[in-house]
Amino acid sequence: MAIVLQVLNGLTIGAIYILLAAGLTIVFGLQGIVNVAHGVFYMLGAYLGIGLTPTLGFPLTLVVAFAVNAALGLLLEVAAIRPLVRWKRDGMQVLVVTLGVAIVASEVAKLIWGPVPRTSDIPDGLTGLITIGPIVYPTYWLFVMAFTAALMGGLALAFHRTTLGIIVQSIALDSEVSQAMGTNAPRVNSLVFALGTGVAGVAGVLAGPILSVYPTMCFDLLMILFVVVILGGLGSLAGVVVAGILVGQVTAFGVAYLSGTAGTILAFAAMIAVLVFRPLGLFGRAGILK
Amino acid sequence: MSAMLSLDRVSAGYGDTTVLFEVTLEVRRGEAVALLGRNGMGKTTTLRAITGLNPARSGTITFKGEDITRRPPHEIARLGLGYSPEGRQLFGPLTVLQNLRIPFANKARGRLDWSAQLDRVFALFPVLAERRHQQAGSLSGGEQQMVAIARALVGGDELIVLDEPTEGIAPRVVETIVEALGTLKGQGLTILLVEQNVRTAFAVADRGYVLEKGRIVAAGDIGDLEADSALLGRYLGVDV
Repeated sequence: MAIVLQVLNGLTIGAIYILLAAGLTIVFGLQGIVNVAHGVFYMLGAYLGIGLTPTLGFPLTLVVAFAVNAALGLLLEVAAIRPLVRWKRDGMQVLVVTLGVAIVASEVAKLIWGPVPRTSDIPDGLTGLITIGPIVYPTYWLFVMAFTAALMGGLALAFHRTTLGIIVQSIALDSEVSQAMGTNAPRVNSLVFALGTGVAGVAGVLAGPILSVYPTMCFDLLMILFVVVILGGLGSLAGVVVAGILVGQVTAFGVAYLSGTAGTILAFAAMIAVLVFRPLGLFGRAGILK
Repeated sequence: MSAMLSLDRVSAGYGDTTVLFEVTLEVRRGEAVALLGRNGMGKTTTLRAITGLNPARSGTITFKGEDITRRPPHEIARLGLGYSPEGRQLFGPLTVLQNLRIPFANKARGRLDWSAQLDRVFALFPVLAERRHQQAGSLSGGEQQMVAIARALVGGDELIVLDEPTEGIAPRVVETIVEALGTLKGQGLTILLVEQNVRTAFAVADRGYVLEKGRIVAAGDIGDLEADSALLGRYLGVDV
């Protein structure tokens, strides 16, 4: 039964990876940029979770965390990223600017909340354990998996069934032609960026009771998120889901049977092994790297 | 007839290279105009300047009375310009309907009826009705070209700009496309057409301009251009 528990642990941590990597990969697919500040929204969501859940309750906290982080993401995109992309299509500048934003945000978080790691309480109604046959597992962790599955399902539907989703896909396929068909690509890109940072905020709230919350957490997950995004294939939502589950498993088993760092090392090893056979990642498409 | 689109001494290029030199031309409401010339003479560059994808360096482009020289591509498209790019450039993984949905949603939603717009393009190219749920990338070259033209139409635009609509296509499909363009012209649509295939241009256009090394070297009624065998041989590589 220990193995089943590890699988579930891997799925839970994988769910957090998926929620975070989703925003990174879509933004890369659309604009060809890497937002190193993505983890800031995750961190902010976690602190909002600690601060707001006691007064607002858990569901409303999720909504507020989404809204606040989407709004801040929109601000970052419009004020800092869009001008860079317009003046010079150079991913390097965006990388440096967003890294700067992440460093400043992390220091500000340290000033406000202090450097000591915290955890948030498991929300009312989701505490306790669930027994399924011989398996006993925390209710909240199962909730995180179910929530992620529902959210990603909704996102996939939105991308494939709604007109705005089709327009987003067309930008990822060929931004220039899409604009010639009347698409206001900069505006759509900003909206999608904000959606990604909003979801990162939600992931922060969800992760609060599971992982610890501290000011440099916005950097710690970044490396593993790059593994998830690259392994899945840059720009692919389905890839992020599969790679998130895979990396979650590798991490969980590495941590359980070897050591904490072994999980990360194994995750990188898995990425390299896949890239040898599929250089574009599991679901990568040639041409997205225009 | 008033000019719907006019270019006044437009120069354009890429990087350090200038490709177009002070090109002046106009397309009047309801007419079909062909831009002729051999490969690499600046035809596509002219269209990219008009659509805003590669803005002009100098000169003025006016569309329906508005200066569009420096406007972004999506604004120009939304002013009522339908565009079918060279090499079709469909969104391959998307279905035919999804390809058509994009310009419709951007330009015509709330103004025109979606199913009426579809009926209009399916009447022109009946085969697309059968292919509507297929991935655009899985269609034959001729069918893809039909989707590209349909995509330029479903926005309900008054001007459609077509870059090489019969390039690399089976002769039977070329006929279908030439016929369709004739029908559209009959419906009062304004057409600007770039063609290397002069037979298509002669069959569709009312007037023509000939581009040679980025400059307009001849212009006139299409019949006069067609009759000028010296011009055809010299600038269009047609043996007469």
